[in-house]
Amino acid sequence: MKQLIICFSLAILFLMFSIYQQDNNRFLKEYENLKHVADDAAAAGGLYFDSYQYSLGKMVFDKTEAEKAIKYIIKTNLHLDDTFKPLPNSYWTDTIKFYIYYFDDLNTTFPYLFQDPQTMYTKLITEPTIVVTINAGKPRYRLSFLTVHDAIRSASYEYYER
Amino acid sequence: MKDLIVLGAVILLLLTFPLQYALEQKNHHNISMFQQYVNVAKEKARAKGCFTQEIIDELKLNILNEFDNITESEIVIDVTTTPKYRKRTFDERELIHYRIGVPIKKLIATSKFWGISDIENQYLYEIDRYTTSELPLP
Repeated sequence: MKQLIICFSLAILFLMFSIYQQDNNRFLKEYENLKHVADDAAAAGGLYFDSYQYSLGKMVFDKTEAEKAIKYIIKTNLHLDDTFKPLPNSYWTDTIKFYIYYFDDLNTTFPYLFQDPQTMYTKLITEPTIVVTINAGKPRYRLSFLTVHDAIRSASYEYYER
Repeated sequence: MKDLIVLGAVILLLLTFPLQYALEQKNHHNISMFQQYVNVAKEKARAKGCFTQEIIDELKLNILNEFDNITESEIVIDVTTTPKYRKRTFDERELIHYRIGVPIKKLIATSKFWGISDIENQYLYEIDRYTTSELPLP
């Protein structure tokens, strides 16, 4: 009887470890995907700038078009509905929040030390830049006693003078 | 003798777990590399305006080198191959679409022990996304 109890205890312990491993690996994959989506969103937003200001030698982002592109990329690539709530085929469960920061020749004096309030990541910005930070909410872990934090990824797109 | 039989059964049952841990890590590593290869191909496609044959061939070669138990025909590549252009205003028709998948052929290490068939013991890992083109309008 003692051996049976030890065997079952070990089996439950091993099973819990296996569940944790699978959940954690899945989260790491989705976390990497989230980074690629943030990259794509920042790069998409960075494509649009004010032509008139550019003709005057200033790089100023076209925020209306940039926001359209960023929203579309985040929505389609993370499989969200129009209110940014995840669709059934999305890994994420919480409503996705995202933050866009524009630094251009109209609103910034370079160099500018930027600290992302979401990640506390600090970056010295020397050129016109768009930063996109995505907070995808809590990851899926089946072991309910684990404490999990929001998954946040940030990416920037910079214009370099050549 | 009774203890020996119990020990044998216990070892057999518990041995499945370490084998599963090792397989899970191998699959995770393969998928992580797959993600990197797809991301590199996507960045190249952004610059070129679409997935050129050269980009697709390089991607397939990288995937085949990473996954030792799949063939070229099993790789799912459904991507934009006609050039898309960067415009002054956002136009979703000018986005590059890429759906790239690879079969993960062994999910459970001791599938025969649990009576799981080879068909049930696999799935398709897929990346299905859009990205913008940086190719200027001619």
